[in-house]
Amino acid sequence: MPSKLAGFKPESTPQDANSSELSNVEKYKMRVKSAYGDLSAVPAKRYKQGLAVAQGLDAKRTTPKRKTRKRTVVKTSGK
Amino acid sequence: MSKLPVSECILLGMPNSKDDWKSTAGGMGCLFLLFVVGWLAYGAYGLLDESGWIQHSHDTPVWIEGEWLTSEYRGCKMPGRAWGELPTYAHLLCGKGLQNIDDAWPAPFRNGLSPEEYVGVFSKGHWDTAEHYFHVLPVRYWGKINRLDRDTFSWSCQKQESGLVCYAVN
Repeated sequence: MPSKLAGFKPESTPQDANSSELSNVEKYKMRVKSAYGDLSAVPAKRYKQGLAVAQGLDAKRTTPKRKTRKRTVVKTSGK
Repeated sequence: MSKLPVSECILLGMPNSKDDWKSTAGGMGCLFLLFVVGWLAYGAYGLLDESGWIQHSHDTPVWIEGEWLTSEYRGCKMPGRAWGELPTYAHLLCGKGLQNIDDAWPAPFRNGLSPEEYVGVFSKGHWDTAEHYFHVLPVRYWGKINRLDRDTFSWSCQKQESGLVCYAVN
């Protein structure tokens, strides 16, 4: 049986779930709390895996896209 | 204007006398009266809908634990707007029995999700990865579906030959 998440303090539920101001991590915590009733009831391993994915989504959202430099082809006159 | 009943307003419409200012005033009164009646009717509809007196039909994906006998009642959970707008993204989770007290989802559904499905449902917040657990059934709801006041809504649902009938609990 998976170990339970111990000592995790549930956070207050944000009012607007669809608001773009909410991060994926906040939304994740809200969804989990809604499904389990209490965050302490969530299996720790599963919770951490889900949290890592949500954090990854947030990182993707906040990190600006890297500009790709156009490759220039230098023609050399060869003989 | 107060002497004109609503039915007369509807039948007569605007007064056709060009010069009689009283008729014009009566016509304006009629319009105002119709506006008030419409506003009251709209308010009354909203109140009746909130109280569960108005029926809404919506084809809904339903997760069913085990066998559900016809005419048997179950307590079903409907995840709220964190998974998308209702009723468009409405899903029902119907575990065995009538567990209406807490708002938590049925444990067999949560525990039955694979790691990928768990990530899809909770981290990404969509149902795509878990859709194969659901049966789309015609559901008649007594109560408002597109609510925003809770994270999860409870319904008391009865299985019928042709789908489900659900009554709002909270």
